[in-house]
Amino acid sequence: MEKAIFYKEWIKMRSLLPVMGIALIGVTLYALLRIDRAVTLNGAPHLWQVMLDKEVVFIEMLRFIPLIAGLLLSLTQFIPEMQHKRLKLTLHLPYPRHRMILLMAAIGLGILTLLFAVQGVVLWSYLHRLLAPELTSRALLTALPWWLAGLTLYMLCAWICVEPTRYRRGIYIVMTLGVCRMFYLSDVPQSYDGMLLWLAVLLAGVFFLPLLSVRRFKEGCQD
Amino acid sequence: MNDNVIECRHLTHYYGKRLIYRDLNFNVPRGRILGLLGKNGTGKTTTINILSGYLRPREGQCRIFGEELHRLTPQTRQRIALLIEGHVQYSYMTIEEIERFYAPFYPRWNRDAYYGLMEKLHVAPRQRISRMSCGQQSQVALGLILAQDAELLILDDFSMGLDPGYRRLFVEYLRDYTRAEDKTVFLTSHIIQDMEKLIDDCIIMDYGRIMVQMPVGELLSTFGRYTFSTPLPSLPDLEGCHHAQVSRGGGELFSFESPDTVAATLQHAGVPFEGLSREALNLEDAFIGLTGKY
Amino acid sequence: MIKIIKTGVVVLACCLLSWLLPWLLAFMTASPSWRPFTLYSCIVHSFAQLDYDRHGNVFGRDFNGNIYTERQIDSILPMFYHRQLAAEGRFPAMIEGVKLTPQDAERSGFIFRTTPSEVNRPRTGLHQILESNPRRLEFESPTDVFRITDHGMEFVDMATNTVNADKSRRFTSALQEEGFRFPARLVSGNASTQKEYDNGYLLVDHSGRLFHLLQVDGRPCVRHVALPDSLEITHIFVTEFSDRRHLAFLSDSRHRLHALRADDYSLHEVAVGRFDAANDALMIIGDMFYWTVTLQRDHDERLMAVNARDYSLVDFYTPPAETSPSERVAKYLFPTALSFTSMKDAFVQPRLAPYSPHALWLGAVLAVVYLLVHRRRPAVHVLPAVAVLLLGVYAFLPLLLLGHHR
Repeated sequence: MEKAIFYKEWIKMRSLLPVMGIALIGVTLYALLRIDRAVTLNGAPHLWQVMLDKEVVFIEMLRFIPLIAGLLLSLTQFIPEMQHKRLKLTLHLPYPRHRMILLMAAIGLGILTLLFAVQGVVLWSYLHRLLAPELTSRALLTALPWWLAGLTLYMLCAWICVEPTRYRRGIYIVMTLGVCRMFYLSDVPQSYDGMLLWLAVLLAGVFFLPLLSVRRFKEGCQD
Repeated sequence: MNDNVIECRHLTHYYGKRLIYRDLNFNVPRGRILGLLGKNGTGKTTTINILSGYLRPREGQCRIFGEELHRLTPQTRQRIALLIEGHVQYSYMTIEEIERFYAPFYPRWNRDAYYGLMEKLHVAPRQRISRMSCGQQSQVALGLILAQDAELLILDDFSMGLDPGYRRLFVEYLRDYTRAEDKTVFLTSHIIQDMEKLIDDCIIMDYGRIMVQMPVGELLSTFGRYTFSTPLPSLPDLEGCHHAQVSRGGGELFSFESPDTVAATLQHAGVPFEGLSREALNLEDAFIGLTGKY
Repeated sequence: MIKIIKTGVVVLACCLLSWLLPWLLAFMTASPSWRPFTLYSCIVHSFAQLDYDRHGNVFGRDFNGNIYTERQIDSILPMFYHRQLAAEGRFPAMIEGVKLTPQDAERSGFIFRTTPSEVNRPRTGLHQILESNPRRLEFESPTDVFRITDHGMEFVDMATNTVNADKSRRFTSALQEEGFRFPARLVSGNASTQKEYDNGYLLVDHSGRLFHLLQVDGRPCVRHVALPDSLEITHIFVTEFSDRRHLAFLSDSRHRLHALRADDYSLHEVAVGRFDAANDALMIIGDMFYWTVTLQRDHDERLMAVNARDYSLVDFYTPPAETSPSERVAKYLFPTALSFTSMKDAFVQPRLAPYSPHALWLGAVLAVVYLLVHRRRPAVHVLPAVAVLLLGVYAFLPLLLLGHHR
C-alpha cells in the first residue's frame, strides 16, 4: 500500500519534478558560473577577500529558490487532492488516515530534501576546491535556513491546501507569511547558526499541521 | 446477529442555524439496495456525507458494520466502496495507472471486472481520465467500485451527468452485480426512473424528516393517485391524503389508503365527488405524489 | 493528537503575534531620535554641544551655561575643528601650555568606535596579516589567510587553496618560541590596506597571555606582552591611529577598558567605568588632550571626558534616557515581546523580552471578554482565559479566531 501511495504522489509530481530539478540545478550552476567568471576575471584571492570583508557568500541569488520549490511541490501534491474534494477518496482508502497524510507529506519532504541535498553537493563540490573549508561551510550554513524554509513552506502550504474553509485558509496564509519571514531576517552569512535548531523544531512541528486540516475536512467544516 | 449494515439513530444536523433534519432514524439491511430520494435541500447529500464519514452530525449516531462512523477502521473501510458525487476520481491518472494504484488496497481486487468495463470505453490506455467524456469517467469510477468487491456500496448521485445510454448501462451493470454478489447498496440519484429499476427499498425525505421508508414494491402497490370530479374550486386538508388539489373540475390526490377509505374521507370532509378512480404509480410519480411538484 | 496540534497552532499564532505586533507598533510609531553633537572642550574645560535653534540655525553651548555662535564653537573645540581654524588662521599656537600646530592636532585626532553588533558577529576564523614593512609606500593585499588551529598557525594560499607549510611552520615556531600556547583565545588585527601603518595582530593564547605578532619582511616578529596576572582579556581592538601612540584598546572580564601603549607595551586603564564590549557601544573622539567617550547601553548613554595624558576621568554627563513612544505604550499592551534580531548582534535567534506586569490589566479585560464570548460553556474555557490573562492580546486573538466555535 505504501508503494501505491508513493505511486500516486509520483504521478502527481512527475511532470513537475524534472522541470524543478533542472531549474534548481540550472540556477545553482548559474550561480557557480558567476563565481567562476569572477575567479577568471579577478582571481580566487579576490573572491576570498570579498567573502572575508563584505560578508557575502556569492550564492545569495539562490535564497528564495528552495522556497519556490517547496511551494510548487506542495501545490502539485495537494491541490489535486482538494479539487472536487478528491481527498474523500484518499481518506476512504483502507489505510490509516493520519499515516496516509503524513506519508504523502513525507514523500514530498523526502523529494525536496533530496533536491536540496543535490544542490548542496553541487555547491560543495565546486566551492570546496576553490575556498577554504571555513568559507565553504559558511556558504552552506548560510544556505541551510533557505532549505529549511523550503521544507517548512512545503508543509505549511499542505496545511493551507487541505484546510476546507476560506476563513481559516486566510488566517493560515497570514501565519505562513509570518513563518516564512522568520527565515529571511538577516543577510549576514551564518547569522542563523544559533537559530537552526529552533527552525528544525518548527519544521518538526509543522509536519503534523495538515492532520488538523484533514480532521476539519473529515468533520465537514465549511464556510 | 444484527443484520443491518447501516444503522442511523437520532441524526440531527444543522448548517449554521439552518436545520437540515432532526431525529432521523433509519437502517439499511444486509443485501438490500436502498435509494435515498428527496428534493433538493432535503439533506440527501448531508446524509451521504455523514455516512461516508465526511460530516459529523450535530447529534445522533451512525454505525456501519457495527462501527462508529468516525472510528471506522481501515479494515471496515475496505468493505465499503464509495462513489463520490460527480463520479470524482483521480482523473490525473490513466485507466491503467488508477487500477495499479487502487489494487494493492483491496485484497479481493477484481481486475477483470474493472477491465471488463473499461473495454467498452474505447479509450487509449495512456489517455488521462480527465480527458475522457463525462460518461467514460463515470464508468471508470464504477469500474473501480466494482473491482473493490466491497460488501457495501455508497453511491452519491450515481447517474449525474450521464446520458441515457450510459445511465441504462450503469444501472444494469450495478443491478446484475449487486444481485449476483449479495451486496448492500445505499444510493441517491436525481433521476428516479433509474432507481426504480435498481432499488429494493426507498427512503423519501422531506424537509427535516423522513416521509417514507419502505420496499419500493410495497410503495408502488399501496400508494396511488385518485382522480374524481368535483364542483369545488379547492379541497380541504384530508387525512391520509397528499397534495389534494382541483384543476378545471377534476380532483386529484395521492394516498396509501384503499379507495373505500379515500371515498369515506372525502365524504367525511363534505367534498362532493363523482367517478373516484385509483391509478397505480411509477416511482417518480409516487415521489412527486408524496413530496409535491414544488 | 489533534488536540496537541490545535494547541500547537494557537501557540504558533501566539508566537507570531508576540513577534509581529510589537514590531508593527514600533514601526508605525518610529520617529527620528537626535542628540546634539557633544565634545569636551580643551579651552573651556566643559562639554560643548552643537545644536539647532527653532529656525534651524546652528548654535553652541557649554555646560557652564555659555552660548556660542558656530564660529565660537570652532574656537572652543580647536582640536576637532582644526582645519576650519587653520583655514581662517585662527588655530591657537598653544593649548594647555603645549605649543602645537594644526598638523599636530590632525595627527593626534582619532575616532574609535565599537558596537555590540560588530563584536557579536559570526566569524570565519580566517584572518589576514599584512606585511608591516611593505616594499612600496602603500600596503599590498595579502595573498594568503591564516587560521589558528589547536596546534599552530596555518597559512592558506588563496589562489591555490593550499596550506603554505613552510610559512605556517615559521610562524608557529616563532610564536611557540615566545611561549605561545595554542590554540588562541583571541585574535585581533586590521587587515585593511587603507591605513598609514600596521600594528599587526594581538593574540591571547590558550593560557590567557597576550602576544603581539607582526609580519616584517615576510618573517614573524612576536613579542609577549606582560599583563597583570589578574587580568583576563575578553576583547581586543587593534588601533592604527595617526599618532601611533597606542597599539590597541582592550577590555577585560571585569568590564574595564584599557589602552595598550605602542612604545612600551604598558597597559593603562581608561577611567570610563564599566564597559562590556559585548553589550555596550563605545565611541571615543580623541585628541592629544582629551578624549570624549560616549558609552551606550540600551537606552542609557553616558558621556565622559578622559584626560588623554593619564587616562583619568575629567568630567562626565548623563543625558536623560530616551524611551520611544512605542515602548511606553507597549509595556501596557504587550506582556512580552519576541524578537529574532537585535541591535546588539548580527545573529538571528529567539529572544524574549522580560514580562511586563503592566499588561496584566489589558489581559484581564480581554480574559473577561473571552469568557463573555464563551459564556455558554465557561468551565471549558477557564484555562484559555488564564492564558489570555497572562499573554493578553497574543493569546486572545488566536483563541478567538481559531477557537472551537469557529
